[in-house]
Amino acid sequence: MLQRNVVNMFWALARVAALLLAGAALLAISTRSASAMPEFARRYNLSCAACHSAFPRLNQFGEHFAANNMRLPNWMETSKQLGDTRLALPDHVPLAVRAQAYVQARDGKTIDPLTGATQYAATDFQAPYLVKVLSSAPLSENITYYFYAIFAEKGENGTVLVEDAWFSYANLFRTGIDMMLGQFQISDLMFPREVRLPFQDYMVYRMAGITYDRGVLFSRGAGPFNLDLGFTNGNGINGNLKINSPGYGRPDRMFDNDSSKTVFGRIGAELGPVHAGLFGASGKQRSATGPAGLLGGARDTDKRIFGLDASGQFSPNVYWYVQYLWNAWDGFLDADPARNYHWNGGFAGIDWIPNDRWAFSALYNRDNAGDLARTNTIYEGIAMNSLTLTSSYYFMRNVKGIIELNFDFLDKTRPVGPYFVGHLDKENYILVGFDTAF
Amino acid sequence: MRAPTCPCWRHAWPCAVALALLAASGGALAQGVKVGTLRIASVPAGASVELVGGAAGVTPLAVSERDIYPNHYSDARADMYGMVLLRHPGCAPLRHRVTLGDIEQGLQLRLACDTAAAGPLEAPPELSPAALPAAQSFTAAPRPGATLPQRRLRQLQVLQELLDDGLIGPDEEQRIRRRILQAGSSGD
Repeated sequence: MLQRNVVNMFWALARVAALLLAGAALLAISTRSASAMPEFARRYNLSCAACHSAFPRLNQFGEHFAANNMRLPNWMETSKQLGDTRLALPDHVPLAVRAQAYVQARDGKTIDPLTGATQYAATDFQAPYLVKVLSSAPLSENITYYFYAIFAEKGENGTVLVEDAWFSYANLFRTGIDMMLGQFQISDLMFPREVRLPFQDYMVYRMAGITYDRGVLFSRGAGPFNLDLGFTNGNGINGNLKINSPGYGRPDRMFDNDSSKTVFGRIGAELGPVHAGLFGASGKQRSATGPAGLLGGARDTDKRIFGLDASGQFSPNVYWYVQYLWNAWDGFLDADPARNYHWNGGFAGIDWIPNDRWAFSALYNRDNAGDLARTNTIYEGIAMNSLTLTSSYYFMRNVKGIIELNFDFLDKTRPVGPYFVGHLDKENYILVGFDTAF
Repeated sequence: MRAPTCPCWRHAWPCAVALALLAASGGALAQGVKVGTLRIASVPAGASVELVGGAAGVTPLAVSERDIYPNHYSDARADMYGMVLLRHPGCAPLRHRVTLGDIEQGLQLRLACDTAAAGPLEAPPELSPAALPAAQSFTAAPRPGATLPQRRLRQLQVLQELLDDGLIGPDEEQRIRRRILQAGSSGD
């Protein structure tokens, strides 16, 4: 019965895919002469191809642009000419939009860890999946800002989430050190998630808790090495605390709840054709407590991460990348605070961009829950073993249709205790949809 | 490790259908929609065209956008990224930064081909106030006998020097260059 449902589901998806593609064909034909270009392309009157090998993946020049404080040498000419050399006002409001819409069929369910109550939908219209507004501009010879806000991501209508939001200052005090202050992803030091081609995520970054945080990052080239050193609150970007000890109605908020900061760094180098890096981070995180480890505890526990990353090209059109992270979460679970938990994981991927119309990607995520396995907490679910295949077709430089298949190789598990946690179900999926930026 | 129980694994043909649909639609679109080609023409024709990746041919020709913006290039040639360099015997080399407008409309470049001695400078039209004093420093003593092509060539040379010195930007340089050439062609 289930098998028949699955086949029907795929036929339905195939029909939906055909309709979507027909619609996309009309869209592409009707926008042949339209100028749909994101903000940097608009500002510098350049094609998207100048910075992207296949949107959103950056090419060599795009990497150079990002590393060069997100500007070209003639940035001042793109400002409003007001006759004031001390005012570089953008000549237009520098905004861009990214939007994604998908249809997905999958095995995964929603299962309440406490009761086991299950909700399931074999197919799902994830449209819109994401609507994002981005802005960036050079503000002075050294200062650039960048931010984006997400309106409606994954069904979170009614909220606006600001993720990347920072100022960068190039060549601080003429030392050659670049500084970034604000909200950013620690993992951007290795492989920025926002410019990946697959829909599937670089999961180990999320599970290790090195995505968005507030802090400061210093970067400098030193001979053949690139050095990065940063500090963050270690609390993520959602929480804040009202400061009320001075009295009633004070306006300020705290974004950190302890004085210790997470310190992290990376040493990168070019080893022949390979870009390689060593990453390390050390900080604190709140312990996990309550049923299935769902709640935050009262203890600050030590956390350390070591990582290796490498990337390169097999040919001018074939990119590869590998990431490995080792994690130590000391005394993390209140259920056994004397125990130290180690786990590791990583991912590897290949992007093949044979021409300006097509891009094909393979992404393999592999994570081992290590000491967190069989703890009957949600952290058992760190375990992962999946291969994702993605095909992207570019109707325009900035409009693509994607079809993605995810194959889950991990065996299903049964709960080892009273809670419904772990790999209770497969996460195979097929996804079809659009991704655009303009 | 057990074989995955993905529906696609057991029933690969629905996935193949979906992929084939995507491929077929893409193929049809690829034939119907043409993007990312830059047409380059010059006066005189037959100029050699150099891009960041090296020699690309002689005008008139069409190159792909990816030839202008390759995903990878040698650091030694980074200054040619996004640029077109035209050379023709007897003409001054012409460097041009490609814009979106060029890709949409095609490039029509006119080379300055009079190699006679430099003549007096006439202030190029629309030269910015900041750049003017520098431009005047290049001004040679007036040569009443200089021909229009000689004056035009000298103007273009000064313009290139201003660009090279960073006193004017590429957009401004292009605008002034067009003015000089248009003024010259209408007067010839």
